[in-house]
Amino acid sequence: LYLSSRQEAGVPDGVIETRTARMWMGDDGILRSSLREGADENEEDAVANVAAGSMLAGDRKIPILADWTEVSFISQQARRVYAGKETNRYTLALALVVGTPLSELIGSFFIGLNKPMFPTKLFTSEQEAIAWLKGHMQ
Amino acid sequence: MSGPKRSNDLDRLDQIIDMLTRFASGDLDARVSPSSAGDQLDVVATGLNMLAEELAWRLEEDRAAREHLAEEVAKRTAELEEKIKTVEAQNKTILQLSTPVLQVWEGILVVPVIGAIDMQRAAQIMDSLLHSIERTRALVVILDITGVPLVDTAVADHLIQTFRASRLLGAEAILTGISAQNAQTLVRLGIDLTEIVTMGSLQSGLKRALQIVEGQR
Repeated sequence: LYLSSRQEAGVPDGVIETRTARMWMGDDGILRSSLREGADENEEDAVANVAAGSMLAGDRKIPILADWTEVSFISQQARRVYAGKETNRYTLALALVVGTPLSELIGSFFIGLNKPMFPTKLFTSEQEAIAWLKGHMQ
Repeated sequence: MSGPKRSNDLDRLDQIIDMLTRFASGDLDARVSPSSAGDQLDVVATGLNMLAEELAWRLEEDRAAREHLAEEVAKRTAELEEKIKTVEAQNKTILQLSTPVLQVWEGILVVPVIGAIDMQRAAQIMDSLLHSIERTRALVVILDITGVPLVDTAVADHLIQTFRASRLLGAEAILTGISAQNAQTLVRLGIDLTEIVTMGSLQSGLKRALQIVEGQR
C-alpha cells in the first residue's frame, strides 16, 4: 500500500493504490477494484489488495466490482488468496468484469478452480455487473 | 501471414509443445513464457501455465493428504494394538480369576469351574491345576463342573487329559457336579469316563477326598 504518498501522487481521498490495483468505495456502496494494465499478480500483491479491500469495507460485507480487463496473469497462490477466508469475511458478492480472451480465461480459472467462498460471476458489461451486485444488496 | 510472423508463431508453438512434453514427463515446473503480442497464442500459453500450476498444486496437496492419512493410519493402528494388548492382558487375568484352585484341606485341592469351557480355558485349567498340585503336593484334586452348562467331546477330552496329568503328579482326581443334562450328552456322544472317579456332588467328592487323604497317612 502506498497510503503515505497518496497526496504526492495525486491520488484522490478514499482511493487506495497498490502495486497492481486501484481501489475505492463507490457512492452506491460498491467497492471498485481495478487491476492495472498488464498486471501480473503474485501472492504478495493479492494479500495487499485483500488488505486494502478489508480496510475499505470495515466490518461490513460489501459487493465488489473488480475490473480485470487489463490483467495479464494472476498466480495460483494469488487466486487462492482472492478466493479465501479473509476476502470472504467482507465480500457479499464479487462481479468480475473481463474483456479480452485472456482476462476471461483468468476469470474462468478463478471461478472454476479456485471456487471462491462467496457469489462470483464474470461479466463483459459493467452495467450488468453493477445490476447483479445491487441484486445482492437487497 | 507474413514470413517472419509465421516463423515466430511456429517458434512459440514449439515452445508450447516443449513445455507440454516436459510437463508430461513429470517436470511440474515447466512453463511457457507468453510473448508481448497478446494474441491467441498468448492466451493458450497463459492457460497452459495456469493449468500446470493448478495441477502441480493439486498433486502436491494430494501427496500431502496421502502422507497425512498414512500417518493417521499408523497412529491409530498403534493405538489399537496397544488397546488389544491391554484387553488380552485383562482377558488373561479374568481367565485366571475365573478358575481358582482352592486348597480346602491339607492335600486336597478343589477347582470350581463356572461357565462354558473352551479350548483356551481348558488349557488354562490344566495349567493352573498341575502347578498347584506340584506346589502344594496335593493328594487329591476335585474338579467341580456344577456350573458348566455344556460338556461336549472336546471338553471331556480335556478333562480326561487333565486327570491323567494329575495322576502322573501323584494326585487322585475326582470329577463332581455332572448335571443330568451333561450326563445325557456324554452318554449320547459315547464318551468313556470310566477311568475318572466321578461323584454326584461336591460334598460327596470332598468326603471321598478326605477318606483318600486319611488312608494315605
